[in-house]
Amino acid sequence: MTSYELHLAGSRGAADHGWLKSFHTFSFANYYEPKRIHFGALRVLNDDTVSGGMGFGQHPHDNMEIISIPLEGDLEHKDSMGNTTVINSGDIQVMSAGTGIYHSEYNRNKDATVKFLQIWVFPNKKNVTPRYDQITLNPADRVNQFEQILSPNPEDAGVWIHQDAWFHIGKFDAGVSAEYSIKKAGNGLYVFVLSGQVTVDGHAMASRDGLGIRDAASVSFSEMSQGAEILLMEVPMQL
Amino acid sequence: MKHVVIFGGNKDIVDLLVRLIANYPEFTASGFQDAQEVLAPGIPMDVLLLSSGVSPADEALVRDAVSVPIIQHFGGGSGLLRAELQPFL
Repeated sequence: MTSYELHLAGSRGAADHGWLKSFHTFSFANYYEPKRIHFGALRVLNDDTVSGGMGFGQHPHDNMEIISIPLEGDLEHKDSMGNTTVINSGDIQVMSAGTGIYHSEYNRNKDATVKFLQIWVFPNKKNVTPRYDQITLNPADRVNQFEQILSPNPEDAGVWIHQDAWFHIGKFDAGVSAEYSIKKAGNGLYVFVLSGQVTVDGHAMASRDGLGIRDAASVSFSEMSQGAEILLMEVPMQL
Repeated sequence: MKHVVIFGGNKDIVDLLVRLIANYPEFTASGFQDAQEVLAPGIPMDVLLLSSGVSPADEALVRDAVSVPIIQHFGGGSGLLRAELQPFL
């Protein structure tokens, strides 16, 4: 039987470090809520705003698939594999931390904030060779449909990670309905509303609300507001 | 006060975890990259934290030998560390 776990935007953990304001859907850093540790393989969903010129200094990661989705502004990335890049709104960045990777992420602009989602997914194998990738998405591909932006397959659309996970993003006109079919039996779907309002299987959701759905074969989206933008994260529920 | 032993193959990350845990008032920590050092007599251990870069053979050896709770640490730094240790307070 399908079950639903609604996380309203205001119920997320909030952190204000001055230069960084972050909302944590799941327990992270000083935010600890035993009922909000993870949704299957989805362990971190941080909604970060970084002040102009500021950022995360060099720090390590291991054994985690780390996905960054900029929503506004430009983020400068440097890592221990020699990559120096800038990711902009409309890009998606992925790192497989594996045996260990160091990186820094800075707001490239001194006079504008950067907003981005930081998403961590448990890998399906430990100690892989670290890797980095980023691609630019075409905004037209997500209009009134869900565009695949991440999968387990290097040959498939979007970036890929070491996990049986699929991410999609869509931006909808008012009144449009949509359906999402689970790609792998047993996977769950975490719905995160980036902006606007939508009803998901009868659950009314607004900007930055999250909904974890288990044991569903498909999920329906209706009553969209104009410009409603939705991120879907399908992940294994068994670790 | 509980003592956390960190076992990992990436020295920089092990050192960082030791430093982070040492900042928590409820825990002390020591870190090792070699399974034999982890299992050496006299090493205090209330919790074993497994970090990255440990071979399957060494991980199995240590898992079989210790009787304390074992945490698989993910993520490298401070983000998840507190939540991983919290249940053992």
